[in-house]
Amino acid sequence: MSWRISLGASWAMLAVLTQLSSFGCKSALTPLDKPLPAEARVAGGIQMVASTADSGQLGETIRLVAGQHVNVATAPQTIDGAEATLSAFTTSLYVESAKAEWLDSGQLRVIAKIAPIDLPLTAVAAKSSTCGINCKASGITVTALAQLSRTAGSVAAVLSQAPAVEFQQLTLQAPDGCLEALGAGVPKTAEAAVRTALAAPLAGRFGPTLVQALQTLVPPSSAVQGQLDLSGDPASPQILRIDSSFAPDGAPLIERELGFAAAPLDVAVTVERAGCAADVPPPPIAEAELQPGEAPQTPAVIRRAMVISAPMVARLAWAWLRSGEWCRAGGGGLPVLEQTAWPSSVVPELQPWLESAPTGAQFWPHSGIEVAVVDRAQGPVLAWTLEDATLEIRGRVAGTEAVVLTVRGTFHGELRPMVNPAGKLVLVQQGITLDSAVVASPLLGEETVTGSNQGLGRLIDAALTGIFDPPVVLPLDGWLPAGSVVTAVRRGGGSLWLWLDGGLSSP
Amino acid sequence: MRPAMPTRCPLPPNRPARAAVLAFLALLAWPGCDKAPSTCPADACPAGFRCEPSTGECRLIQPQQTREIPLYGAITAVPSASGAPAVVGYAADRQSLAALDSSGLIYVAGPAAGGAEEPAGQSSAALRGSDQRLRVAWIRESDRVLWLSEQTAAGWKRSKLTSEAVGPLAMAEHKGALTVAYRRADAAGLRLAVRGADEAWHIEDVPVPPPPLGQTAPVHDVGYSVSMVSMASGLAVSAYDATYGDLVLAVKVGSTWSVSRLFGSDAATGADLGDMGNPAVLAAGPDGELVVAYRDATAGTVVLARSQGGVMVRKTVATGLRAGPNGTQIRDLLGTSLAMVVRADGRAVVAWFNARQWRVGYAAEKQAGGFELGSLPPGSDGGAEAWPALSVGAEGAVWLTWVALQPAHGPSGSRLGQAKILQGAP
Repeated sequence: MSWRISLGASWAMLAVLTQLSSFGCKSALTPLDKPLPAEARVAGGIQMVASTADSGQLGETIRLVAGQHVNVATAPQTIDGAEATLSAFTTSLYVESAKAEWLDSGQLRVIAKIAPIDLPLTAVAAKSSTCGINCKASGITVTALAQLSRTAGSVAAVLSQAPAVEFQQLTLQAPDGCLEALGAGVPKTAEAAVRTALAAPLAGRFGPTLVQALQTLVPPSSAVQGQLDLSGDPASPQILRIDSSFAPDGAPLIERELGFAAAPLDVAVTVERAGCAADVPPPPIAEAELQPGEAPQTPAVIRRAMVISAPMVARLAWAWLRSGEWCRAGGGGLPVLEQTAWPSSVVPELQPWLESAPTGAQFWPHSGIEVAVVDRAQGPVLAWTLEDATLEIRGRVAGTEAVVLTVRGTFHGELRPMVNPAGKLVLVQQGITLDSAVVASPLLGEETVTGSNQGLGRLIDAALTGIFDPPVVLPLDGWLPAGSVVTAVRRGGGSLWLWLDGGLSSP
Repeated sequence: MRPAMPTRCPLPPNRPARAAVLAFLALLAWPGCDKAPSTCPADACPAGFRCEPSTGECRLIQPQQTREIPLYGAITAVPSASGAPAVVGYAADRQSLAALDSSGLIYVAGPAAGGAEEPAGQSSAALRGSDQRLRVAWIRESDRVLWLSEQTAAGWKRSKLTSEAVGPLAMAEHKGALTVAYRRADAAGLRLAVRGADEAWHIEDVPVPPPPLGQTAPVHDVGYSVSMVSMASGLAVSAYDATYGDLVLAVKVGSTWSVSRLFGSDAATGADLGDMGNPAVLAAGPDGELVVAYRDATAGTVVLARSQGGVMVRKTVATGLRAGPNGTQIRDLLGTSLAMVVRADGRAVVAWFNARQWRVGYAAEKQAGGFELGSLPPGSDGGAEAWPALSVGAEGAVWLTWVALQPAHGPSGSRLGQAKILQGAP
């Protein structure tokens, strides 16, 4: 296997970890072999959030998905109490508007208005005489109500009640009185038959569409319990365990607060420590509170956000580091350095020993990681600090690859979540710097570098961006509805808001 | 379990003061100088030590010596009848190829060899022929000409083999025919230069195996590590296939070549098993079996493999794992330079360059299986070690040779270190 392939395999493992951060790994998960400890659980660590400000667009989206025109087609119906049949008819109901709103109960309601219709019908008497009827209906509304519901231990989006179709006015008139001539109760019976014929397709479209919309906004599949072996070696497994669940019994599954409808998930993550990872305790667990994040101004079809709280960000970073995924080797960024001139600006004494540009680099974190979501001009970043880490630079000495330079110190960097053209979230390492560092070479000994050293900074930035290249693409597809895309990333307090769109298919 | 050491570590007699100091430091650095066992069972002492039959104490076989021989880069150790092996390597300060044997240091090629020669010899290979004469193959980098220099009674005789070679090189004497393996300069492939009975050199391609099963990209980058060994069954040549990260093997029996992917890919499925074989060293066991030492870059280990019943049986020699800061575990970068010999009883000795610590380590196969690990005690000047070479002397002793580097003096301040790390057969 060439090193490039090796690097690919390594990134595949990183993808598992990034799946961890997005809970997209459930397809590879096996059942938990033991429950996760309560102290590992971040209450509200991740929240699925919809802004009430987007309710107008949500209603319109539901209207479009349900269908602006709802076709009605009926078979001939026998009119009870009369030896007559209401002939088959077809029509198309135009949905004028739909309004969605979040109720305080956490339910999502949609009210659709249907344009008035004027429908010619025919009743056929047993003696083959026909009766022309003019049906007028107006003030038609469809009201559907959906909610998250616990069923047999799992959470699902369901209709709170059957959708209600109401008619302010529904009249059947036969100009020559032929309808009444069929029998005294016939007009009422015929009207009920028409009402049912019109209501059924409306309810049948708006009910499932509303459920679909709700489970797009708050995917029940984001509740995940399971584990996977990161090592790929059954002889020495390294188990990642994850348990994310909606609010426990008795607590609302969806809460209204701060202009948002939010479904909090309690999330616990543990991972067995890799040998190269420092044995540091996890960050303290704090209950996460929703801190408002600015919504994008761009139009959206079905906008919602996944909010990763500050305690959750810290926990995930700890788990990621603990998994050993930061002890990685690579070298993609190093060729940008000048061939043999690079040591001259770092450790000039090294130059005579080297015959080429660095061949690779290896990063060894020795401490825990601190992460904070901070704003930059181009958007929020995950600013990280490793108090103690070593970066090794490899080079070729008389044809043999060896570690030629080590830099040990406090490293800072930024993991910038970016949205690529395909709507995927990409994590890009950037802005790597370090504080006072001990620069050493097995060939030369060591010296301490403090403050700014441009050559060293360039070397470190090239090495670490190379090690973490190519950027990780978060595989959100595993748990979000297919077609979901990330549209923007924002900061809300210490939390990271991943704004999403798409993923709503016609039921 | 590591055997006990003498409570008092005796200095070797009749050594210069510097060697005595080094030996003293070496013994102090070795862990544990406790009361010795009263008997000398097999493998009683760690590599580099011998059991003193009269006392049962483990004693350093021979303290390491470093000599002011400025070789720099990979070296070849060639057994000598007189004890310490001859060594061939590149003298960076003279830009010349040098050979050191019992008669002293001689420059074989390059400016130091006399005349107005161009620099030469960064790539070389050497062996002692069945006539006990030293032969060195080397490349003049400026025009990529491959040369052979042979020690004769009248001095060194030089002959030109081909003009299309780049390193690395490997040499073997197979059925009396001197053979040099080299990389083609004009294409990514291996070739052999074989000296026929008429003393003329014949060039032939070494075939490479097809890509692993299921792979379609043609093999285009072979030969960064080359090794060659003459076996009773045929001539075996190994090379690293950088296209797929595999160690590939070609064996010539008569005039027929057979090729295989030895390590790195599953022969049955084509599955990628890791980056293996850069570098690798071949040797022949006493029963004619093929023995291979190689670096598994994916696992970070040095591996020894031996053919047994048509199957290569592998054993991990060294993992390079050690404790790092804050409870972490660091894996050293082992084996980017590698050496291996097989003793007369079939036990192999492997030496490697620890490219993270710049130390040379070695391991000797034990009678009971497993390996006894050893390392050179740190020198008194805090220098670095690299490019190990192994050789088995006529009496069966194993010699380790390496390049010792002095940071303060740069590449030209390198020295040559030698130590007998295993005693010969009694």
